[in-house]
Amino acid sequence: MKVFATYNIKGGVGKTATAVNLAYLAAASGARTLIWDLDPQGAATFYFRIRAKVKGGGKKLVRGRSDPDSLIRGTDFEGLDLLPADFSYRHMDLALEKTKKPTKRLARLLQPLAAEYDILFLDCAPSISLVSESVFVASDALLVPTIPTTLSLRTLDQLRHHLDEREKRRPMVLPFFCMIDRRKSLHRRISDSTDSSTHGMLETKIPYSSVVEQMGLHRAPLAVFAGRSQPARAYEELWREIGTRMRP
Amino acid sequence: MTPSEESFHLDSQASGRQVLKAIAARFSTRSELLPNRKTIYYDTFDWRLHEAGSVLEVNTDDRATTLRWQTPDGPLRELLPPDGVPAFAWDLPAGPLRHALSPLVEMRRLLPLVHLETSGEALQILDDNRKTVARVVLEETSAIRPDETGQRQSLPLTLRAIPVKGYQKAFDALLQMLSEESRLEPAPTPPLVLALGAIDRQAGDYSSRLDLRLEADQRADEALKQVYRSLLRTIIANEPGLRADLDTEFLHDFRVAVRRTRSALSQLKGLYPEATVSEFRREFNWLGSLTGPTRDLDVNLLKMADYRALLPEEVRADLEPLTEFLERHRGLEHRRMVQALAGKRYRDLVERWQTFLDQPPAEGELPRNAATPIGELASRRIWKAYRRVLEKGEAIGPETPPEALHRLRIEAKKLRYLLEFFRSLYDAEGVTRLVKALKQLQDNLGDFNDFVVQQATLGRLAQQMIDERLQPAETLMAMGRLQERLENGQEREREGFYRRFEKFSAPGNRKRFRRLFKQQERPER
Repeated sequence: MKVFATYNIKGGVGKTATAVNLAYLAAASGARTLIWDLDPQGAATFYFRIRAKVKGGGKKLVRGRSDPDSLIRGTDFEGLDLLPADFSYRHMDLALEKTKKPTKRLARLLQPLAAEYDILFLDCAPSISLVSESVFVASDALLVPTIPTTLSLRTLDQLRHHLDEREKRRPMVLPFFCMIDRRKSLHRRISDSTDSSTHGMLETKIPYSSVVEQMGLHRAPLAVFAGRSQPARAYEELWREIGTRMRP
Repeated sequence: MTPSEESFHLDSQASGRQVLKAIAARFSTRSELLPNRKTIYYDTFDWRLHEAGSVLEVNTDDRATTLRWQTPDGPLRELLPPDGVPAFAWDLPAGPLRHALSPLVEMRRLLPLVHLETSGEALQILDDNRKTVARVVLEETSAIRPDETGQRQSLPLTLRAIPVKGYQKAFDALLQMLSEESRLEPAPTPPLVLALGAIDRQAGDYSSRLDLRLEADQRADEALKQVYRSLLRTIIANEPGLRADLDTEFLHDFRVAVRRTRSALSQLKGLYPEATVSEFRREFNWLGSLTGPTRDLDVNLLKMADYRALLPEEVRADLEPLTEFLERHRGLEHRRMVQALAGKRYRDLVERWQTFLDQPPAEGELPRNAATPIGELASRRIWKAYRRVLEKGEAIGPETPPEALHRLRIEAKKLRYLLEFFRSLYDAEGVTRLVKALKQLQDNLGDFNDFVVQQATLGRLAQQMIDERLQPAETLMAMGRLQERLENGQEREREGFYRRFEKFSAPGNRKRFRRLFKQQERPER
């Protein structure tokens, strides 16, 4: 099972849109795919029309007292399942703290799912915390949506720096530009001049588009209601590129 | 846990539509496009997957090609590259499925049993959020023979109710409606059985095991014909796969059936006219030696993986020229063998043998054992063969040369064949236990002999490679190292022999042999 986390220290950068669209594409290519919506706001859960409620809450789940399999819900799409968000996830840090080896906790919880899924997406809440530490340990790759601004690039450097300092196994970091607004000169300048050589950015860029915002209206991945739109194609391209980067 | 889906058979398109209409009236629904799907079921020629209670299928739709193996412990699944249909277990992508499948399938080819083509329509059952909570699929399927005839047969129209994980209540409501309102009964037959039936096949229709029902008071000549007919069926069944070179075991099973035939012809005498028997013996001996060289090379090639494992990592690659050498020679030998099997001598043998076996019982003056009840003859022969194994085995000590163990191996094999031919005449459990004890002894003797033969073979192959002016020094050196390793193995097996033989000749087994096969003293006729 390959584990991807959509992660950024900053919020509102398109993490959930990335997780939802890429997970849909993964399942559509035949991989059994699961998303775990770790964000207490439950946007991914909402997009899939599933109730943001986990029996026993995050505490019980983190402590290994609930069977994750019994909490998983099938989405509208064959081969794509979701472990819903729960508002109690906002206290997940506290719950983790009370366990032994908290940073390895998530990885342990995910272990039994490896037989059932080929690909897992962790849709993370913005922050840097015990939960994100736990996510770093559990993930093969961090997908980092990055808005082309100076501050965003600085945050990305901070993340790399932080990961470099850890002795434990490090996930691959795969940042890519998203929400690029061609009308803004800063976006244009940064996204055109920054490439894999400077910040290890993926080639694919996700443009800003109101279609992405409409995902909340349609409550579905882009491919379902705007399959031919520019961002929908950009996500397809992104998924292909991630595939080539993940090959050993 | 997600409940498993249910299938229902419908008698017509019209009744299928009616059920869909009823569902749409009862639940909030949305129709869904259903991609056409192709399914191919696989098994080995000797039905190893079926025997293990499992089903292997490759499904292809517009999204992906997926290999699915339903085992008694649950399903395993692997995504395949497009058109990446497997031929052997080792062709599969590394992963849990290959890991579990390999030891079962071994060197056998995965053969397509039947193709299915499925198309249909689907209905999603929705909740208040218009979220899919269950699915209903109405499917039409054709079963297609996987050969050049491409013969096609429709399967019953099927309605599948498919649960969505985490929405048990909705699924229960759907099932309840289908049973109470639409009066549907779950389909009783698994799809593979149905599909095989549609192309006139049946799972498990071949096995290399002898499965005979003999009666103790049957005339011996007639009973043996039953044995020979069964062996001839095995020979004929393996012929096409052997010619097409699908995998090594067609030739192996073919040769075992030939060897069993020869063993019976020489061990059970006085049943048919001497001239007839000696002619067939000569011809089956010829068939044995005709097919020997290819099998020897097959064995060597199958051993290559073991050989590599016996050597240190850094010299393993040195064996590559040997593999190529073996493959080249095997190709030549196989072609030669197939040509001979297409010739008159082989066809005549099979035809004359078949005619002989189909003749009505002989009358008038009969050869000395022909009218003996088979129960009596079998016991006499088994007892004698058993005594011989004991005698030869007891004579083996630390100083005995390897040839003596080889001869004991031959005697043990003769006894084994007799036990297998005639097991239906005796208490099944008793024979099974004796066969098991004998098999353990045979395995030891076989492994010992393998080590001896392989050392000699490696020496011979090295000489051949030199004669053919292939002189990769590293390869010859690696082969020399292998010979050393094999000698160690030979000694290990030799030490193990005494324990195995002691177990085989233990008082319990002696008693069992005596009870089953020892007859009242009477002069041999």
